Amino acid sequence: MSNIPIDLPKDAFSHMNAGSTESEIITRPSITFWADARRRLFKNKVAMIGLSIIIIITMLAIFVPIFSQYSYTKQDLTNTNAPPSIEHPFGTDSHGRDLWVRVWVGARVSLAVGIFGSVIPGIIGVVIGGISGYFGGKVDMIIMRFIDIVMCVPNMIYIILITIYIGTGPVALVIAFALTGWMGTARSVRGMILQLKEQEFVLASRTLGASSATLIFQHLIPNTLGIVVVSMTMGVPAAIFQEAFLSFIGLGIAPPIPSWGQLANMGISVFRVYPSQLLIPAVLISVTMLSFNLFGDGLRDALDPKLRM
Amino acid sequence: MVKYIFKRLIISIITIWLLATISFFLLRTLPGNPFQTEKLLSVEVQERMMAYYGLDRPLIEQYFTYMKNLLRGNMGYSLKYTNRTVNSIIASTFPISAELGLRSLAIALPIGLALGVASARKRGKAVDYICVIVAVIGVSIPSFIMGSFLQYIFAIKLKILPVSQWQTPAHTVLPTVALALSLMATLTRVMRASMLEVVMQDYVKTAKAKGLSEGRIVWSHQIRNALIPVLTMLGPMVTSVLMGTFVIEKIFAIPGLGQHFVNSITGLDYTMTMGLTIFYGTFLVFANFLVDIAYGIVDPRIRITK
Amino acid sequence: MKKKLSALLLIIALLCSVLAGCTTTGDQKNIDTDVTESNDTGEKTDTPSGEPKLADEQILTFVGHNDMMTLDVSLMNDEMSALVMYAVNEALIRYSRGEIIPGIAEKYDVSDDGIVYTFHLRDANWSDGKPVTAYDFEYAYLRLLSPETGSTQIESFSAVLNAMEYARGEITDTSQVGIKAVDDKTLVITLTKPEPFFLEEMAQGINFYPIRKDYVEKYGQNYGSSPESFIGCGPFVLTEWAQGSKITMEKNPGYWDADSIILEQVVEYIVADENTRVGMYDLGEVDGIYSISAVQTVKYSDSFRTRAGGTLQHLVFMSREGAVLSNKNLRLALSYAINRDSIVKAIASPGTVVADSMIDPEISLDGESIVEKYPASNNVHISGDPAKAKEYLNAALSEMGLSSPSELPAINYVCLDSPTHRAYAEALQAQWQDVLGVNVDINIMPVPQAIGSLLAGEFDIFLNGMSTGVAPETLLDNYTLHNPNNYAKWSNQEYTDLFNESMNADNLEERFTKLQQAHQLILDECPVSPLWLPGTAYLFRDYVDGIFYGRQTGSIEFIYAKILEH
Repeated sequence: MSNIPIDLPKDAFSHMNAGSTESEIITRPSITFWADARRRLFKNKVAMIGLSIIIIITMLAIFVPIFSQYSYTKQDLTNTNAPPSIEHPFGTDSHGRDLWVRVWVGARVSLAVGIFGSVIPGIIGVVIGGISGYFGGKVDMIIMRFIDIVMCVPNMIYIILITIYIGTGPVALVIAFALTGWMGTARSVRGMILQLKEQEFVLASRTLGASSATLIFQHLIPNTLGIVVVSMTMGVPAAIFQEAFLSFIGLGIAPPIPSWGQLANMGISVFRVYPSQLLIPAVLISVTMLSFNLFGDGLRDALDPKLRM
Repeated sequence: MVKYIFKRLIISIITIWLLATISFFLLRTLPGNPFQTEKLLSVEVQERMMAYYGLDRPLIEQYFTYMKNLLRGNMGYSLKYTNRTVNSIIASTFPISAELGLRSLAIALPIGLALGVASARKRGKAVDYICVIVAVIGVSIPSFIMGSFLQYIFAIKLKILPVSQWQTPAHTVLPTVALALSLMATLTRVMRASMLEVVMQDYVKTAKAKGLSEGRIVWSHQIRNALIPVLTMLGPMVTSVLMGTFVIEKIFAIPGLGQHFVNSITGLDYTMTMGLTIFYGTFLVFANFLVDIAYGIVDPRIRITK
Repeated sequence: MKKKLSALLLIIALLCSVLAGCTTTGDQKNIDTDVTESNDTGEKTDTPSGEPKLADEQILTFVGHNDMMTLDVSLMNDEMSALVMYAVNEALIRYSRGEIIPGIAEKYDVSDDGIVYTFHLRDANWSDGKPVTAYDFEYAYLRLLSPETGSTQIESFSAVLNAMEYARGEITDTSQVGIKAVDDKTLVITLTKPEPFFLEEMAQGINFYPIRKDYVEKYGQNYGSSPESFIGCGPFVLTEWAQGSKITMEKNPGYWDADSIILEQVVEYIVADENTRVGMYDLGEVDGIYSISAVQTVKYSDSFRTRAGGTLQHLVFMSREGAVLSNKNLRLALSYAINRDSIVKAIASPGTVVADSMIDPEISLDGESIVEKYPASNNVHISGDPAKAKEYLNAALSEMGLSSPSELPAINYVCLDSPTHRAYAEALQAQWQDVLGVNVDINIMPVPQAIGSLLAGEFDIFLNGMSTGVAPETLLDNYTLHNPNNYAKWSNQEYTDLFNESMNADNLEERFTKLQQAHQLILDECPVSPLWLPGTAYLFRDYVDGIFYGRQTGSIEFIYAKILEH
């Protein structure tokens, strides 16, 4: 900064012992990729808040129905649509059932359907998209045309078929989502792989004799994880909403088991008269989704080696 | 290039034919028939109707009849709206859905992409958080709740916009915004993720080292490459948006195509479902075709003429 | 970092408060949902203070939930088409304000043996000025029956001589069918045997309107798909049909009774979402709502009106040999465990009336309700009878060699995918669980699949809603032996004999006595169990006068309405 020459005496310096092996020692302890990811994730406060909310909601979903004095099926037709009170913290629904219990039972169903309904098709999509993008040519052509065709058949046909043959339960829904939801991920992973496989590190790895499986699973797919994680966290609300939409048209989970989507659907039909019946599930859905998204962003930052700050 | 396009065209036709075939048979594996309505028709009348529409014939014969008509562009009469053809229903409802979709895309695309870029560029800063929160809220509120809230606030409480119908430009504002919000949110998130991937790429560093201006780097090295994942999702996204959305159309009473997608399948209106599937499929195949061509323009590393 | 976090939380908090704020304001009252008692079930009474003043602009607007399907009279099968057709066309006789009034027919004679009906047409014109003739009716009726047309409504004519034979293609000569235009102004309809309910069928049916042959020939299969391809002779003319969105009708100045019609224009908007419909009403964009759900009536507890009848919802129990519910005591246990009254009060749409018989109490002859005159000694308890239900359950369990209800095989309740059917299913499921400890699995399916299961007998319990028609036999008809519509697959020779004796009876007294015995038997054996007659709630502004709510669920009669000064 300043131009004033500093007058240092020569004898203030002494020679280091050049060639000492100490300079080669790595003082930072060696940590694995996953330990590093975990460390960076834990440092990310926003992601941690998201994670905490998810954990709290999960805990409530697990324990509230166990300890509540009401059952989620117990109806009281003389006390319907009651406003929130001490006895019923969230009020009661059109059948006089306690909404506090129903909301948390619904949380179990929605979280399970949301997470599995997003992760399973996500994984299928990554694998198929990876294979398609990597091999290119005929394989890519066949897979992409297959996806084109399957994507065009309205999902509802598959879903009606599956629910009729397997039944209307959470498992059937997850299977339906797995069969219908992987194509989008597969297409975008394939797009990224097409781009990635031309890059130098892939060429280097190939030159070193890596097998196709190694290339796909060690090099290409990990590099797409960022976008895939984002799309999976977006997939959670999408799966939850799709469940709600299906409940709405009658293909969701059979009563008396509630889900958040169903509760919100019921709520929307009464929201001008009994606003709390919509607000509670709507806020819970939104907060949960917010948490998943924030956590997903943190996870992505932690997992992507290129994004170290 | 011409050869490539020609080849793709042939493949597209085969794709659509396969699609029609698969959905024809899938649809018929569903139990029930279109005349099993809530208003219970007697068994005799149901059989009479099945015979009248030729649905009691061998399936393979029905398939060839359908295909023959399809080749002439005739998708038959709807089984529910008994004296309207599928062609005429699509022709009258698609323009409305497409207009709504285009309006929403016109808002969502530039804003969504811009927010994504801004957010990625200012990663960890306030701008980033605001963009992320806008995006997250957009994807965190189900459209049926968002649509109803917008309608309740702006039309019923504030009385500044019409409640429903599709007539004047003022009528289009609420549904357009409701639809655009969720599209924008999705685009922002994908664009941000994709930009962050690109920012650290070697070619960006190289460009920086070469002393290119910041604007030039962002534009031709980052955004251009970050657009690829966005492009991939644009095909299906544009298609589904233009084809109408059941929820928004229902809430705002817009006579678009979206409602028919749901009602025709749950009501087992075979001809209508087939018509919509083929229309949707053709559109999607075409959109994906355009996306693949766009790949080559955006990313010279992908050589489509191989 | 802290600052950003708190900003984030602030935004979330703001958002929540906006959401909360916008829905908690307003004028809701958390009153009891027991609304059915506070409403009359008939016509709005006229304003007591003399002649009310009319508004300058006689335009009625209302909002409905579905578009009409078609204007082709022969194919029509839905309530929204029927609603519009009632205004834009006219049959020989009209069903108005609960009674039969003359329509295009000035008068009619019935032969002494009750078989030949002769209708004498008045001088009336189509909306383009051409006269309406008996041939237009003959053409319309024969077209509906023709196998070339593909109508679902052939059974409306089942009493007419050779009508079903012609419809089935067993005869092709239309001159053998009992529908004959003698001249321009005379139509003769011949029945197979005397049927006192035939006139009711003609008046209440939705397929007895005339059709102009030249229009059908001009437009072919597209006849009735737009205002241009349709012509009627009713008090209104259809001027606009924006499909899925708006229907406009204008007064027909050439209508023979145009003086009685006060409205100049009727506009119906089609809006699928109920919150939107109610919003339009609140903002004054419409004068009325075609039907509203129970919960919305809480806000308008003073102004809505209800109407019940026309449809009977009842449970069908799969009684086929080998099915779980082939045990009669188990069926009775399920039926006795239901507290119909509490479900109707808490869940059903306003106006719903509990039913204890399989015959609609509104079906009457010469002003006398048939089921009241020939009652079945009642074993359907309105509020349920838990003690008796348990008795039947124990009897059933010991017959089946079981010790507790949990050992019962799975009971499959197939439910249509409508919100009301779903709500009923959940309420019934909970009551069976509470009273009997019997577990019932609900299986929700889209309509075609659910009805498919009903027809194929792939269910144990099905909540069936059927039109009660105009004759008392309508619902009981199905449960005879070998009837393909015997949904319960219940076989009972005695019932079949009684029913057939009733149908072949020489006089009405014998017909109804035998029917009474059959009715008693089916209630005792319980392959079906009546639940309730679902009602509909309508909401119209006070200044809309003279709207009548018809018998069939969901039809409002607005042709004689007027808009009062307001």
